[in-house]
Amino acid sequence: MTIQTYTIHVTSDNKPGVLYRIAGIFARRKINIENLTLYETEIPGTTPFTIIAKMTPQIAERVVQSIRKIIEVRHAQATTNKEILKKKQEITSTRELSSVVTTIDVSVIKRVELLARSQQGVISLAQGIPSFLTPEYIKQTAKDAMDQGLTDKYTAGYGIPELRQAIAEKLKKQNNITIEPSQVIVTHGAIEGLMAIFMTLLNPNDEMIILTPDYASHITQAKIAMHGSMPIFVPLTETKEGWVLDPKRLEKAITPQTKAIVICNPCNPTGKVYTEEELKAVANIAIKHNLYIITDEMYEDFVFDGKKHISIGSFPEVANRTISVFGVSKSYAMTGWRIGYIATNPTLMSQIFKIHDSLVTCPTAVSQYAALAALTGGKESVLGFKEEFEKRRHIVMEELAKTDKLEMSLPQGAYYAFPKFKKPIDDVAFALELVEKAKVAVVPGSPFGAGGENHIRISFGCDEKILREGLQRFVNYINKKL
Amino acid sequence: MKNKQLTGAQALLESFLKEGVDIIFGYPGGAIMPVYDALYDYKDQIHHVLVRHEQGASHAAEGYARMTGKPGVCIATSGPGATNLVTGIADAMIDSVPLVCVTGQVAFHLVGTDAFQETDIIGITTPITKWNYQITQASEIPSIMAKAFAIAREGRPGPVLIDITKNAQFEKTDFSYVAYEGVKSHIPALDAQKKQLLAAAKLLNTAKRPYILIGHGVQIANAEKELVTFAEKGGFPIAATLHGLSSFPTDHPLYAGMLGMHGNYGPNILTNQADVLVSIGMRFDDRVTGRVKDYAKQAKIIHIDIDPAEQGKIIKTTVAITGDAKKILKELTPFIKKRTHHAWLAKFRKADHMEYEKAIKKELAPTTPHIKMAEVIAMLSKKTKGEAIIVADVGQHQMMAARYYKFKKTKSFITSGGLGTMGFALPASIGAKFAAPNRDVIAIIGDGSFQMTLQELATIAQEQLPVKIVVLNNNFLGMVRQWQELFFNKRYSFTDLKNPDFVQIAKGFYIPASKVEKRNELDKAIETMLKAKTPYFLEVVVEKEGNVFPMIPTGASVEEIRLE
Repeated sequence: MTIQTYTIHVTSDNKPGVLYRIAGIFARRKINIENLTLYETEIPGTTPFTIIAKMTPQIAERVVQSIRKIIEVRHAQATTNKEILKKKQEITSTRELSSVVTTIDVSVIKRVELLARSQQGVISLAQGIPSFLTPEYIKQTAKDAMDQGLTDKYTAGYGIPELRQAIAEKLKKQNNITIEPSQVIVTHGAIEGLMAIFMTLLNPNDEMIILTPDYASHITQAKIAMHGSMPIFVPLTETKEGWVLDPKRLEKAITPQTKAIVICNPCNPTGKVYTEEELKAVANIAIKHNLYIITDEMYEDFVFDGKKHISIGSFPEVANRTISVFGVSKSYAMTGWRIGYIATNPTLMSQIFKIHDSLVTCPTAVSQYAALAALTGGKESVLGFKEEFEKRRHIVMEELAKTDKLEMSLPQGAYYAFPKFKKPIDDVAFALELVEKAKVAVVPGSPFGAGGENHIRISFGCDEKILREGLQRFVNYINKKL
Repeated sequence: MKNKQLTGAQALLESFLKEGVDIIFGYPGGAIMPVYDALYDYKDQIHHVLVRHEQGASHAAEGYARMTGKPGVCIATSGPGATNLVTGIADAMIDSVPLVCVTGQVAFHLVGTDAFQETDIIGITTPITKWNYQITQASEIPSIMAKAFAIAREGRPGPVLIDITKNAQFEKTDFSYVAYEGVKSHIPALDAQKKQLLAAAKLLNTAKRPYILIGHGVQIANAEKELVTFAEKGGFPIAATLHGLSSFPTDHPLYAGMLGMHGNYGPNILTNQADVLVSIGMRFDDRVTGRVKDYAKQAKIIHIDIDPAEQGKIIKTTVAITGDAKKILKELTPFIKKRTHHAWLAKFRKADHMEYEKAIKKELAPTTPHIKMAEVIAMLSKKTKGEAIIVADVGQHQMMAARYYKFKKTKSFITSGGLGTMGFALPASIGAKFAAPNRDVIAIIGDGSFQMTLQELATIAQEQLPVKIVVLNNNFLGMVRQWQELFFNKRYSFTDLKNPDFVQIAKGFYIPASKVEKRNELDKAIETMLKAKTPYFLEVVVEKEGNVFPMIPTGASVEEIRLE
């Protein structure tokens, strides 16, 4: 019988003893394992193994069958190297792709969204898009700028001076962050800013801590920047009153390799708004261990119940190590315009700029004029959006109260509810099932990192009628199914 | 509501109660003492059977599980207590018997220090358990025990070992018990296998010589009734593996007999004439297939099994249906056409006749001066109307018990099949009797096997358990001797036994005992034994160099079965 080289992919619960059982299956058949790799994924609690060994097709089949019988194993499959090569060639007919890109998937949010769009009559509570249109005065300013010929050419890579000035003033007034306009980079949405920051700071063997659950793209971006290494998750504690940071847990996760902490405030997906005390604790730990702090404050304007959004960048003691990231997408209903901005100290600035320059050259000119109008115009529209979201938040609580299958706290900010299933479920599979069977799209919690498993994220960005209908479909389905 | 605080040991026993456990088999020792201390207060709810060696505990638990279908529970201390369970665990693994074995372990802070009676029982039992786990804190006990029972029981059953460090037995914990529902399954739903069901039905409905092979899976799935309906509708002849015995009545006109190395002639030889072969809950063990290369090459094979790893493992299947035999037969039967296969069945009868003339007649109507094993079994069968539970050990006597006892009731034959564990029957009969107190339980044991676990006579005596023990004594390791005779030029290397006085031994354990050497004494002796309300030991001195035939020599094809 022909002996071939097989690559066996196994996905298992991350529990002690599984490797021993798998290795035993090879050892008892006197098969030498040529290569064994274990790694981490976004899904907490699971470990994929890749095992390379030489055997006959019959033995390979038996080995895989035996591996599948191990209680902790969720999935096992054997492929010959020829088949793998063929698969790689299906992606690209020439040479194989980067080892990073093959390990990352299109974000689950987008996958759910795509599935929802491919089917008729699905209501999406998945992607975080506000239902509002960009206010008229902002659009008008953009049109005027186009008419005046201001938007035809590249702008300065850092952004147009007027916008940087307006951002500096906004940061001073709204966030209590005192900086010069020269300390601002205007980016192609916050996501580009974050990618540039990660690429500026991180080496493959560095560790970056993400307070989780956290926006899934941060995790993917960090993985790309670290050439495949996973960030370290420090989950917040879920309580009846909301998610709480345990500074001791954060400090325990720090090693000599730790370089930075990412904090999403207000948090997507949990709606968590960090207290001053929590932010001070993060600041102290960052000082003690000489770490950078990276923020994502996209939802700063949507904070409810009289809570106040505090920017950690406003603490003078960490001003030199904090990189604050903001944007206009959510506050001004401008997700399509793609404008975000970074504020940090001049030394870091000039380094981040190198990456930013390589990624985008400069932010879109016309969008910069629109952002300028947004930041210099009144706050009326923002406050109007906030009021509307607050109303929708109550709709969510009202509708979700109609089931006893979930438990959750009131979101403190952003426009997401993040309920937890009382019964353990596979949230990714369940989210896909919801699209197919209940015709409603929500985002599974696992991809948001540790603590997100067994949750789903519901966006209440959409308008009232759709929201209510979507929630009712969701609640009816889980009441029936779970 | 605040849950009550219990020690880990109490939590373990409460977990047993939640799982409906009312009997456990065990042996105390240092690292399991907190559990034994707690057991003192649970005496009324959980009957603890004190065995005389931990191997006995695991086999007794197997006997209990085989009869009830519920996981058998055994407990032992760390170190040697735990390693003594190993044979029973391996036996349960290969024969798909649900067991929950609990071992004590040194306190967690001592684990890995080569502490007194410390052994890595998790490492040792990894390849022979379906799952194992070391509990190091009391709070884990309820959830892990729930998981352990679920894993032992669900899908293809098997043994689970839970090692509990001593500190976890002492510690206090909240107790709340939720049945575990998360055992993952690779079994596709039956409605997703409609295609396979229809394909199987089509093969069977057009078959000229269909043939059903049944294994242990029929009893595990409680599919006996469905099997009868299925077979009668299609007119299919049925043969059983060693573990399939008793799940189909031996006096049914469609019953063909036993498969395997010492099985019946027709069932083996006709395997290679069938055009459609349906295996139900059997795994094409090498003792059944003989040389695989020449096994049923002409037949289309339908393999029904709950374990997808078995399908296609040894024999290439045409149609594989994965799942519980009972459910599958229920789904499949409506698609089966009502048919009969007279000519095909006649071939079985003809083969039976040949076997009777050449092999059986001289066993049952012997002219030899000494009693033959088959005579004893046939007499037992007749006197118990085929309704007793036979617990056979391993060797010639096992094959004779399997061949000559005419089973009328299901779950009546318990033996060590896959592992072939000598010493299995005596302790297993203890578990079987506790599981079925109203049925006759007869252990059939060879003189070699008996001496491997005979200390369990003390357990039987202490429990006053009316198990009937028949030792067929030929003063040889008979099966090995038979092989030496047939394949090793009669070089009887270390197989003759100078045995002790077994009757004296049994009496020493306060068990009534007698010995038979003459044919004309046999009837009365068996009668006395069966009538006894107490445990009873009967030694029958049998022909010294008797052989079991038919036989498929190792490495031969089923067609090369020898009648003499």
